[in-house]
Amino acid sequence: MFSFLKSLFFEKNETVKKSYQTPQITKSLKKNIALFKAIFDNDDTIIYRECETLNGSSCCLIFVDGMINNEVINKNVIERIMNYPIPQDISTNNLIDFFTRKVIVVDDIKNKTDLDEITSSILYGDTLLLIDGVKEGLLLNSKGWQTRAISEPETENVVRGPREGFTESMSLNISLLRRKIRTPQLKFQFKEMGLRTKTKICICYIEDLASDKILKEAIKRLNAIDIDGILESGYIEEFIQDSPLSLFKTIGNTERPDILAGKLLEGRIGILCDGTPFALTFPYVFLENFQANEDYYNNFIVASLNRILRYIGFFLTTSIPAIYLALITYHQEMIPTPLLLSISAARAGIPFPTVVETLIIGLSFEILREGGVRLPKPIGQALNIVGAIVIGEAAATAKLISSPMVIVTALTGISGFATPKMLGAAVLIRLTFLLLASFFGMYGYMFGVIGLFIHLMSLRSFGVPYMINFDSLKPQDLKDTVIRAPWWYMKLRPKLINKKNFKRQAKLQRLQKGGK
Amino acid sequence: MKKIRKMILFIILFTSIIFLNGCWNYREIDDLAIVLGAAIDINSKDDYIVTVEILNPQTSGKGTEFVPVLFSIEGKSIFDAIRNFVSRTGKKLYWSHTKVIIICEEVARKGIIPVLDFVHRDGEVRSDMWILISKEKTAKEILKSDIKINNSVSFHLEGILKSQISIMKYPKIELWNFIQRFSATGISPILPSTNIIDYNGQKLSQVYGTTIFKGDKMIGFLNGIDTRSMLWITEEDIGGILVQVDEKNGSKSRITYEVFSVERMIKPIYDKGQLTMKIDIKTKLGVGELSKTSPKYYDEGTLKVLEDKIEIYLKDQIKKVIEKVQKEYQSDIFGFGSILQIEMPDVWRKYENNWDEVFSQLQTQIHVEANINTSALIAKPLK
Repeated sequence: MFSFLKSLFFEKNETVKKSYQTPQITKSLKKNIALFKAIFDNDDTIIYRECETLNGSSCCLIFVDGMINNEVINKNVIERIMNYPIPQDISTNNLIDFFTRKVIVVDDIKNKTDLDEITSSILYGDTLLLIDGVKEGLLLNSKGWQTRAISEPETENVVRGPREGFTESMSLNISLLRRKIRTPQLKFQFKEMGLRTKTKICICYIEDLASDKILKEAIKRLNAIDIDGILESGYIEEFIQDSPLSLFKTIGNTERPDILAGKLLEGRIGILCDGTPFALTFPYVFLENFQANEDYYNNFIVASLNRILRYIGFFLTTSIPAIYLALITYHQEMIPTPLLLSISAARAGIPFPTVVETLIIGLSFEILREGGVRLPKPIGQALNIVGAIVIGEAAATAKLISSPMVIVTALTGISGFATPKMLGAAVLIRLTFLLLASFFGMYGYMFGVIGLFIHLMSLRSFGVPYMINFDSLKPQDLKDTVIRAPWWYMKLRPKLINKKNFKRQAKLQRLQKGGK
Repeated sequence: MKKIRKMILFIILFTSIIFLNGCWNYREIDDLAIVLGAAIDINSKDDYIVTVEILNPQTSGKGTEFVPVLFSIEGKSIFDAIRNFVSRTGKKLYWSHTKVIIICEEVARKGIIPVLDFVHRDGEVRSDMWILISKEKTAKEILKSDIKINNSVSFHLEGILKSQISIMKYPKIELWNFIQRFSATGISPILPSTNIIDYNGQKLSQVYGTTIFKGDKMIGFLNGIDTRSMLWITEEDIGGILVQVDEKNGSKSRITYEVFSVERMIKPIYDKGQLTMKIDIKTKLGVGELSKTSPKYYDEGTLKVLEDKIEIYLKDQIKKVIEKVQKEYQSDIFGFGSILQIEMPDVWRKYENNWDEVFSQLQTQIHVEANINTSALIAKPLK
């Protein structure tokens, strides 16, 4: 059965065929211009700026309008070319070198011959300088497009902590990360992905912390990707994650440089992807779903309490409807008598069986939530009011659903938001538990829980067990799980994730009474 | 092939665990008639009459109110009667939340086990519900009381039994406890008794006193004060209060003590064919209330006098109840037999067969040591 499913999902992807053949750059400027005009046929954004040096050799600049910094092109390139006295006796072979060294005032210059590389560089905001009689092109770094300003990420708000978030520009993101970790051990490896989008991605890690095996495995998986376009890091996530059919994420994502820096310092590996503020981190284990960056900035007791609340929230959001259903349809003896009487009174006159009731209100809550996510804020509020009144108030008064059910749904919904990273998984788990409980009562629910645990225990993220640290009772293993130990106690980095350098701190650094 | 066989085995195992589990039933909560209390009577044809109290929710503008409804029906057996309810209520009775079962005196005198057999056997009924013996003509009358707290006589009675520790004038016996005492040797079962009193022209049910059993047959009652003295010998936790009345020169002085703790040691002594139960009681008391002419207890001499007095009072009370039970009922409700069985198995074997007779002749040595530790917030009597 599984192999059938696998074959359904994993059809052998045929390599996407390259769309055009690549001719070579020649010595003749005219031919070269004609070549690029043929490549960029029907593309009016490409600008061909021809100019002449003082000694009469003609040049051509090719760039994309809007992608470049005009000031750089005007002042540092065109003006210099036109005014710089070039000695007559210079050979064409040395011309490129001369231009690079003396004429052009741009920080990054490469001479290239590979046409494929040149075209993609032009389309990424570089300017190509072609000189008559030279069989090479000079690529000048003139990138200068508009980017979004650094702002606080909306998905990961904090009360205390840095307020900057990644943007869509990768170079900016790298600078944000570099500013947090200033060690030469922090490595960035670039890759280009997507046959047509040529999206730049960047694998970042701290060399003496990250596991070589995991890094090698990640690069292997990345190299296997053959796709025409990558628009968001989610594409890469799905390609490289373990157990892609699972509900649970085995690769994390974040919009915050401080979170990414924290994960790198634990020996994890990150992937930045151009065009999206979401960076990927792996290995990603179950307990990371319950961690928040603020846990590490706040008082550890409060942070531990918040963590415990998140675990309880996850339990509630997945289990409450199922347990409620099991109790009131199978195990009425387990409910305290006064509660039983009031539930019984509330249920009197409800036309649907409890299962149907639960499904109806659960479904409407999910639709409300999904509907509210992408709505503009002003309309979203109207939606909230409609949802609250219609579902909460009117449906109960009209005796379509019972009022305890409203409370159950509200509690389920609210607790779900305690673990926003598992919202999607929680909905499906909840539904499964609910159906099991409706068929077999508490017995079925327990089956669901056991099944869930078996599944979780079988998951791995880049070879690291997904439920790592839940199988141990050693204080150093439990320091950052359900509770968050004080910083001076976290002497070691998480085991298994980081292989080389466990030691995080020198010794117990807490100041003793009286000060040392 | 191997894979398919494994798969089939897995499916068979999986489906069988689903179908091979015990009590399993889907019932909507609003289809249940939740029985809170039941009363069991007997008619002239020896058929049982079962009366159940069910709370009926009634929604009004303000919210839900619960109205207790009584249903009575006859049957050849208890189970028969319970099933016959379906023809009256249209719902199956739900017994897991039953708080009390009241049994009328007539049934109790004929033998209570035929009644409790169903209750104890059935899976739905809990063994922690309270059992009461009605002193009225029928048990049904108790459920028909006019005044009730929490809308239901059953809740009302449950509340009375739950707070027994602060009064101790009736025992609290749950079903399992009764069955346990019934099945054990050397101890006779007891149950609390309940009756109706007139309260401003309305009927109010109260729990007061003890019903004494011999085997499964009821043989008599103890009043509240005697019950308290009896419980001093049998209960684990003892609370309640003691009132001592002194008459001197025609004026009465009353001292009320609150019981804080009781330590009890009962030891059988066997000497030359003579069996004696030695009962040592150490108790800590506090002065709870003084009448106007009470002594100044705060000096040490007076305290000693007071302690001596309450010791004698307690000793008399306990002696009285033991003698009363020995003389009138010959039923070992104190559990002396079971103590003997543990402490001196050889002697017990000798008397095992005619224990009731031996019990009625049993000598007791009672020693009470009372300590008055506290007088609450007031150190001296109010003057």
